[in-house]
Amino acid sequence: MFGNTYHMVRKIYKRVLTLGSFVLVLASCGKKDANSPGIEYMPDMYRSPSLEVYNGNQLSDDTVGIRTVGMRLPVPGTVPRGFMPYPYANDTAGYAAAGRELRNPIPLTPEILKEGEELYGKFCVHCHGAQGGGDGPVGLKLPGAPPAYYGTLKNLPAGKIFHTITYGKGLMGSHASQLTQQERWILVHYVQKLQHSKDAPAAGSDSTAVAKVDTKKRK
Amino acid sequence: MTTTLAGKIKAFKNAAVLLLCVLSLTFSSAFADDGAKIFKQNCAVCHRLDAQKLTGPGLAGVAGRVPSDDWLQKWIKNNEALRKSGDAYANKVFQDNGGTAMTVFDGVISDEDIKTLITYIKNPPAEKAPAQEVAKQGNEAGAGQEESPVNTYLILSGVLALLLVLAVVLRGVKYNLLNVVAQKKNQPEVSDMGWWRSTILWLSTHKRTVAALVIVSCLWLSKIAWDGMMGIGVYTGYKPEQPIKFSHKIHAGDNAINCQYCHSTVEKSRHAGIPSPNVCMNCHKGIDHGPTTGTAEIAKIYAAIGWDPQTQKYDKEPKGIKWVKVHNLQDFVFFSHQQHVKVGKLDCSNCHGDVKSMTVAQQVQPLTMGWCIDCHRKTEVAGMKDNPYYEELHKKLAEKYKGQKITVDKMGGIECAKCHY
Repeated sequence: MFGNTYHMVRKIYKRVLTLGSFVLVLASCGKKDANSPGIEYMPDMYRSPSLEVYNGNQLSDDTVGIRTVGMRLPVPGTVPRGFMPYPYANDTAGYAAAGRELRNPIPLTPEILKEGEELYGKFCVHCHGAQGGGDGPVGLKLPGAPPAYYGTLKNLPAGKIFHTITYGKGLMGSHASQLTQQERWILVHYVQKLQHSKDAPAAGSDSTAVAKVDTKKRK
Repeated sequence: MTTTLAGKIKAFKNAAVLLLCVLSLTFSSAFADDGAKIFKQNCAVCHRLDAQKLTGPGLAGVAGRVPSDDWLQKWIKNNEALRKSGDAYANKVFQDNGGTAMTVFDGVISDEDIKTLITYIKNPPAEKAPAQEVAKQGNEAGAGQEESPVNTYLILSGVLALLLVLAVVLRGVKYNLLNVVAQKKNQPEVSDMGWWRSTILWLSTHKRTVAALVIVSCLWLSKIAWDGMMGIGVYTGYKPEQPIKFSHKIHAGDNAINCQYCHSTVEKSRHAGIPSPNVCMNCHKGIDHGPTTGTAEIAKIYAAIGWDPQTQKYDKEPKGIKWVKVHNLQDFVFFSHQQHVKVGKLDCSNCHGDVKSMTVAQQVQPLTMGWCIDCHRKTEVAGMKDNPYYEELHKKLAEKYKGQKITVDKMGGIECAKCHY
């Protein structure tokens, strides 16, 4: 009697145990190793053969076929649509010429200044500081802090500012890959505002700048 | 008398000399302080005080190189004029440094200050050993690091093993005691039928408890199974090791660099953009050692872009960096960063978590469809009042859903074909 029950119960328990361990093994597959994204159901739908950005240049030799061609380098001298090449060379003469000849094509308005402030907060402030004094957290870590807009660079003309954002100068690198020409000109407006940020209030540029804009608008 | 007078004069002279010395020392240190300030403000962007070239040549031993202090004075004041005057050495320096002109400081630094500056450059302050500095900073960073979390499963299984051992021992003790009692009472010995058989016996005589236990454990196991299945294809917590130990905490957190400085296409493209090494070089041209890893990791950027820190030129073969993608959306779903960040005005942290505190980039949100739709149902449409481009559309929406919150799903944000096409 007892033996019978014993065998029956053992059978049931064996089944439960097998099922349980199976489930546990399944569950443990879902456990995440930080270096592995985990299991994917049908990975070919997650990573289809169509080419995506950052697939890289997979041209080992010139085989053309599925998954072999990634981004190709454009032909030298290729000009993107809507792009105006910058005519000044990255040298002393180009710098001087840009300062002499270039004018900001974007008219100064309060909206543009606001946009410039936003761009400045994204692309400049960590080195040049909120007031352009060269005292941003990264600027202070550089071997030499950037010169202050309202100090050494107070009289830097717009063209030279644009030239510097385009090519870089000294420790500053080129920001042409991050900013379009239009964005650079918008930034020039804001940098020029900062050149006068420490002026005496009587000659304060803020009020004059806004006043100028107002007159323009009325015209 | 004469001797004493002579002695007095001599003593006076000595005292005067001493005083002069002291004075000049104080002055020179005062000069040095000013010099340091002037140097930092005007020169340090391009020059270092040691022999290492930056944009301009290193200034160690510059006084011995140049023709005279007077020449140095003229050069600093207006190097352009000096070059144009046909000065041979000035033109040589210009050529040697790749024809990159130094800034003209005429009218920016006064003649007096240039003198102070020259004194400072000739007697640079002793520098702290950078290696020590790095080690110190490294230690500080190490102390601040979180402790590795102790594995809860390990603790639990340890406790379980301990309890099992205890149970076996107590079982032995129990039967020993029972036998002692039996012997005392002159009863027959209690035989141990073995722990397995006695457990089975207990199970077969307590059927209700067993049924309850089985049901509970089945439920528990199916929950584990369910969770396991739901985790398939979900990368939450994915934190892969990257080819360079880039820390978002140091860059975006400690140094407050805006996310968009590096991910600059986030408002212009589907993709936020992985910065190419030239963006790294915008700062790392000047910063060659980091607070936790010293020069090791930053040297990898230099190798990737082919920069030689000795010659300060890009004269090696660039290799690029193969970052490991953390956030991967399936290919059958369309997602655009531009739409969410530029138009929807979402902050990066909505989907990427507190990246500013991450030492290693990690996926925080599940990025599943349920998660997307949930957000589309809750989030109100941004720019309902101040986006002139969609003025008409927004007006219609406001009329249609009068008095209700206008969320993204109300303008079709949960239609299948918005993301799957």
